[in-house]
Amino acid sequence: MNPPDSEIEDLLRALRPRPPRAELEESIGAQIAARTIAVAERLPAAAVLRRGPAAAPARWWQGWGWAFAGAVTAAVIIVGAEHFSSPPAAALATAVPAEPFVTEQLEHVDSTAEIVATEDEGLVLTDNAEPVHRVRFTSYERHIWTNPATGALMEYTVPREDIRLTPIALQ
Amino acid sequence: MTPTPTDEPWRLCYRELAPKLVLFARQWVPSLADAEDVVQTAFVKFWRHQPEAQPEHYPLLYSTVRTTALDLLRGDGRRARREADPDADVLRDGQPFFDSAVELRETAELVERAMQQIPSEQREVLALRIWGELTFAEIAETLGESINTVASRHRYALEAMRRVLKNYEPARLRN
Repeated sequence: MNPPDSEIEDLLRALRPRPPRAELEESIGAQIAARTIAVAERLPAAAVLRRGPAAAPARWWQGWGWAFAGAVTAAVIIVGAEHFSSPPAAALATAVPAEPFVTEQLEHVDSTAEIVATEDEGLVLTDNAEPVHRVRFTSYERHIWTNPATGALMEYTVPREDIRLTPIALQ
Repeated sequence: MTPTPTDEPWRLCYRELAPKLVLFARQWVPSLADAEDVVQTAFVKFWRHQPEAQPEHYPLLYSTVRTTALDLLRGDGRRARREADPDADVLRDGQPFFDSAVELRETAELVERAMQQIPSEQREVLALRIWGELTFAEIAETLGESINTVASRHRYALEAMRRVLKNYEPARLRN
């Protein structure tokens, strides 16, 4: 019979994590003290530090902000793809010098954006010491054109990394 | 009354949490020295934001330690390798994870070895739950996961630890 979870937990809890070196506490103390002094020097004597206003309760439409931003991004990509479906003649002439491209011959085939990795990095502090929830998206945008006359395909892939920061109210 | 240097609030918080934070950081970084650097950076950053930190803020501190450790790995290219193979062994410096009495020293070594054999996502939950003494809700907040996910990982971690330790402690764990 296997021992219950509680027995394993008790066995593990009996072990105490090794404490760090004593110097670590002093190093941290020095850094905190240095910052405290720096802040005190910047503030007038009568300054009162206050917390910011309490965060308003979440509204149902707040979650749509990112969806809207995503929709706008998608629209920009589509419009951009339409725009680039007639690439500059000079660039193409460089690619195929022997027979200059007639840009009208290129037809846009496809534009895709594929998220290949999502990393939830949990709660982090920004440079302004505000707690936020950070999620990192890694994606590839792929655009394809073809020349129906020759069957040639032109494809390019752009790697992207987007970081989404969602403010968090701790209190 | 003005706090004396030895009972400043940050020191009380630090002394309560430092061993747990260092153990948590050591999952990602290879040496005790690296882990202490991570804890120092994260603690100062955290205290700057939460100068009157209470226990309910501790998930943010653990989360800051985690992010700082991963950022450190990113800086020297180790993070990419860890992301490609999250369960890859980290080259250790041989410093023990636990500060154990003589009679528990062998168990401590076995547990440390077993921890390195379980998936990293389970290991971090185990460390937060057992030695960090966080609730599942707090762990979920720390890792940005659901409570159910965290509870499942904890269960899998215990099962994995039991399997590994059973090979070493037959008399105690097999019956």
